[in-house]
Amino acid sequence: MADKPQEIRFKAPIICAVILHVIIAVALLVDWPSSHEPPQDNSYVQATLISSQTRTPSPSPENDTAKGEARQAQPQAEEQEQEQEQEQEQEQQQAAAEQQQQEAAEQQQQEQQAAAAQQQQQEQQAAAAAAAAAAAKKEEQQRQQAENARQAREQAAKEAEQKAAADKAAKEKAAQEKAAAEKAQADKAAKEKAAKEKAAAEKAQADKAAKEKAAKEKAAKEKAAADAAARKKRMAAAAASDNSALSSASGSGEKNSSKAAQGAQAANSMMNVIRHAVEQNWNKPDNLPSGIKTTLRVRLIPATGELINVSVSSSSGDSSFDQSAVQAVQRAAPFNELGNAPASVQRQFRSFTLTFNPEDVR
Amino acid sequence: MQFSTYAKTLAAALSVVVIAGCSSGGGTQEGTDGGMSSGQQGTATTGGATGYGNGSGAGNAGAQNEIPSVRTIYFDFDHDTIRPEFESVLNQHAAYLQSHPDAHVVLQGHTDPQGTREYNLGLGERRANSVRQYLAVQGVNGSQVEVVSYGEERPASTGNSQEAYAQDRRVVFDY
Amino acid sequence: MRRLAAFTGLFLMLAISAVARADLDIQITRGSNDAIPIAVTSFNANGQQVPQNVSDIITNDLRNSGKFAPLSSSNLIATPAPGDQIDYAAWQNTRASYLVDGRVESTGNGYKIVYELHDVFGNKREISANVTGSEAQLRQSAHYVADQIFEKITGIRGAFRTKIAYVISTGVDPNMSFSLYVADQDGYNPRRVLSSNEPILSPAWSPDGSKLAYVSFEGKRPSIYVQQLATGNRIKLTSFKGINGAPAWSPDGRKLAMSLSKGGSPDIYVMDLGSRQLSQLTHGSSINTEPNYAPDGASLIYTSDQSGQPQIYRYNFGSGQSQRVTFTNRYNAAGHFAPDGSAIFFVTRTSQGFQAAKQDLASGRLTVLSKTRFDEAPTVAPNGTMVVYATEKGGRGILGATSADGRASFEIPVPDGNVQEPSWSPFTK
Repeated sequence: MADKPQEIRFKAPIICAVILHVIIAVALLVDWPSSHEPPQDNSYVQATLISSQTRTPSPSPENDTAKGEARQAQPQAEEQEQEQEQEQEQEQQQAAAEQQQQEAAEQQQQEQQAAAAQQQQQEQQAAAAAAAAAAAKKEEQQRQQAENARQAREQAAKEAEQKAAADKAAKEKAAQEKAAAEKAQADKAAKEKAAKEKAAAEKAQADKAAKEKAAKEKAAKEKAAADAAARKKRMAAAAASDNSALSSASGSGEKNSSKAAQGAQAANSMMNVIRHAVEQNWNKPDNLPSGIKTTLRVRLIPATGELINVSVSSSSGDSSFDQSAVQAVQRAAPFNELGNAPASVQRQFRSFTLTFNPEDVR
Repeated sequence: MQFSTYAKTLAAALSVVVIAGCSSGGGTQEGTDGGMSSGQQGTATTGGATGYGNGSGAGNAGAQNEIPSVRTIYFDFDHDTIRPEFESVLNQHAAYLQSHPDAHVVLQGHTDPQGTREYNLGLGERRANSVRQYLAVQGVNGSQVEVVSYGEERPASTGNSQEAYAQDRRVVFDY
Repeated sequence: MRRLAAFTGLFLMLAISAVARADLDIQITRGSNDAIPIAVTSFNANGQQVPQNVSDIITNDLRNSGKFAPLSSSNLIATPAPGDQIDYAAWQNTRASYLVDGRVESTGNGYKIVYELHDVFGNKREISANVTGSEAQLRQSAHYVADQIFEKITGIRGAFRTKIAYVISTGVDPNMSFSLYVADQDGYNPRRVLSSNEPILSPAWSPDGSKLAYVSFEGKRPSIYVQQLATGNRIKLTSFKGINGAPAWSPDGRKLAMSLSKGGSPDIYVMDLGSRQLSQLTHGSSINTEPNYAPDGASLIYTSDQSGQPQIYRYNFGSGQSQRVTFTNRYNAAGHFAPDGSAIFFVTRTSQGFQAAKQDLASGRLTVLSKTRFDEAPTVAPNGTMVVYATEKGGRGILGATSADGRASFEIPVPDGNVQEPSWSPFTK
C-alpha cells in the first residue's frame, strides 16, 4: 500500500483513540442492563467454588451380608449412583450458567471490538495498530493481576515439586539400603548353601541390577530436571518473541506486510507453545486403537491465557481417551504467553480446537 | 572293546567337547548356548565316566544278579542321545532285566530348569525313550520298562551354574 | 481512493483473521508416557485402630497397574474428609490429576470405607460412594475401592479383587515337597489348596473361577485333576500312559485342552468334559504342548518344536490347520492370549536368557517385558493390564509382575520356597 502523508499519520491515532473510547463507553452503557455482572476474568473460578459447596453426601444404606463362604465372598457395595447423578446434574446446570455468563461476557467483548473495527474502517490503516495498542493497554492491568496470581501459583507448584524430589530421593535411598540389606542376606544364605561360583554369579547379577536401578533413577531425575527446564525455557522464549511482536505492533509506522508476517509468526509460536504444553501434560493412555481421534473446543481468556472452558466437540467414542485429552488441557492451562501476544493473536486464541490424534498407536 | 577303559574315557570326553551338538537325536541345534554348555560338560563328563568305567568290565560279563549300582546317566544340553561312556551302564541294566524277566523299571526322564515346564516334560520323555530304545535293541522286553518324564520338576541340584544343569539332565533307573 | 484501499485492506485482514480463527486447530500427536499422578489420602479412621491400611492397599493397587503414579504421602496437602469442600486450586499445585479421599468406619461387625474420587483439574467430584464388609473382607473392600477408581479413570475394569494360583516347591530330588496355593492378586492371603511330595504343575482356572485344573504326579505318574475350590473336592480326569499335561479350559468351560503322549509323543487333545471324549488336534513326533484357547474359542495356540526349536503355533478349529505365530527368537513357548485376543504373552529366549514377552498378533511385533533371565509361565490379568511370571532372584524363585505396558514392575510376596507356575484367575463375581 502507498505511504501516507505525515500529518494524517500523526492525527489518525488520536482521532481513532478518542472515537474508540466514546464507542466503548456507549457499548458499555448499552450492554450494562442485559448482563448480570461486570464480566471478570476469574468469574468461572468463583462459580466452581460454589458448585463444590453444594454437595452434601448422605449416608448410603448399609448392606452387610457376611456370608458363610468368606473365601469367595465379596464385599457388598452400595454406590450412591443416584446422588452422584443428581450432583452431576447440578454441576452441569451450574456449568451451563457459568457458560452463559462467560458467553455474555465474551459477546460484550466481541461487540466492543466490532464497534472498534467499524470505527477503524473509516480511518487510515495505521489506526488499527493504535487501537490495538490502546486495547492492549486496557487489558494490561487485568493481565498484570492474573500474572501475579499465576506467579504465586507457580511458586507454590515449584516448591511442591522440590519437596517431591527431596522425598523421592529419601525414599530411593531407603529402598537402596533395604535392597543392599536383602542382598547381603541373600549372599550369605547362598554361600552356606551353594558353590562359590553361584554366589559370585548372584552378586554379579545383583550388582548389575543395582547399577541398572541407579542409572534408571538418574535418568528419571534428569528427566524431571529437563522437564522443569523445558517449561522455564518455553516461558522465556515465548515471552521474548511475543514481546518483540508486541513492541512492533505498537510501532505505528510499520509496513502492513511485515506486520502481517509478524502476526503470523506470533500466532505460530503461540500454537507451538500450546501444543508443547498440552503434549507434556497429556498422560496418553496405552493400547489405543489405531486412528483414535478426539477434538476439543478450547476457550481462553485472551488477555491472560486462562482457560474458560474445554469441551469435547468430536468424541473418539472412548470416554477415557476423551477425558485424558480434556485433562491435558486443564493441566497445561493457563497459557500465560497469550497475555503478551498481539491483540490479533489473542483474538485467534479466544476459541480454537485441539485434535488429539496419537501417531504411534499400533 | 579294543580300547582300554582309560583311552575310551578320554575319547569320549574329547568327542563331547569337539562335536558338541552334532549328534542330536532331536535334530536341534542351540547355537551359542550349545557350545557354551558342552564346554562345561566336558569337565563333568570326564569325572563321571571314570567312575562308571570301573564297573563296565563287570557289565559285559553275562548275567547280572543284582540291580546295577549305577542308576543315573547324564545328557548333553538339549539332547537325548546316549553318550558313549554310559553305554556300559545301559548294558548292565539290559543284562539284569534280561536275566530277571519279572523285574520292572521306571525310566525317569529329567531336564535342567531352562525353558518352560511343560515343554521340558516332553524333553525328559525323549531322553527316557531313547534309553528305552537302547534297552530294546539289547533285547529287553518292552513290558519290563516304563517311561515317566518329570521334566524339570525334580532337580538334582540347586543353582543356575552349568555344572548344576549337567547334574539335572539325566535319566534315572527306578526299579 | 486511499480510504477505499485502506478499507478494502482492513476488510480483507478481518476476513482472513475470521477465517483463521474458525480454522485454528492444533494437532496433538504425542503425549507423555508417564503414569497419571494421583493423590490418595490417609483414610483416617477417627483414631480407631483398623486392621488393614486401606490407603496403602489402594495406593499399591493403583501403582502396580502401571497407569498411576501415586503421590508420596508427604506431598499431600491438608487431607480432606469425604463431604468436605475440596480446595481444587490447592490440589492443582500438587500436580495430581486425581484425588482419592476417604475414611474407614467401624460398623460393629465390620468396616465401612467411605470414599470419593475428584478430578482435580476438572474441579469436580467423580465418585462418592462407600463399601461395607466384614473385618476379614477389609482388604477385599479396599481392592474394591481401587477397582472403582481404576475403572472410572481408565475405562478398564479393575482386576484388583482377582486371585493368583501358584505352586511352591522346596528341596531337591529325592526330598521335595510341593504345594498349590491360591492368593490375592497382590500376594496377600495365600491359602494352600493341595500339598504333595510329588510335583504339581500347570494350574489353570475354569472360566467361572470356581475350579482349578492341574497336573499332579501323586502316585508317581502324572494325572490331570480338576478341583472345586470352595469344597476341595476333586476328580482325576486323565491318567493315560505317558505325559498328562498342560490343561487349558475352553472359554465356555465345557472342554479341556491338554497335552498327552499316549500316542508316542506329546500331542494336543481336547476333552469334552461332559462326555469325556477326546479328539486329537496335532500329530507327528514333535513335542506339542501348552495349549491355550483364544478368547473366542475358535482357535488355540500351543508350543511345538516341529521346526527343531519350540515355537508357538495357532490351531484353527474351523479349518483344522495350524499356522506358526512366533518367528522372532529361536525359543518361544508357553503362550497365553491377552483377554481381548489381540496379543499373546509367552516366554522367549533372548541373549539375556528366558524372558517374559508379548507379541501383538496383528503386527507380529515382539516386546520383552521383563529384565530378569529365568522367566517362566507368564500369566495375564483378566483385564489385560498386568502380567505375572515366575522368575528367579538371589537363587530363589519369585513372582515377578509387570504392567502390560512395561511401565511398572514389582514383586509379589509369596511363602518361602521356589514359586512356580503362576496362573491368574478370571474375574470373580
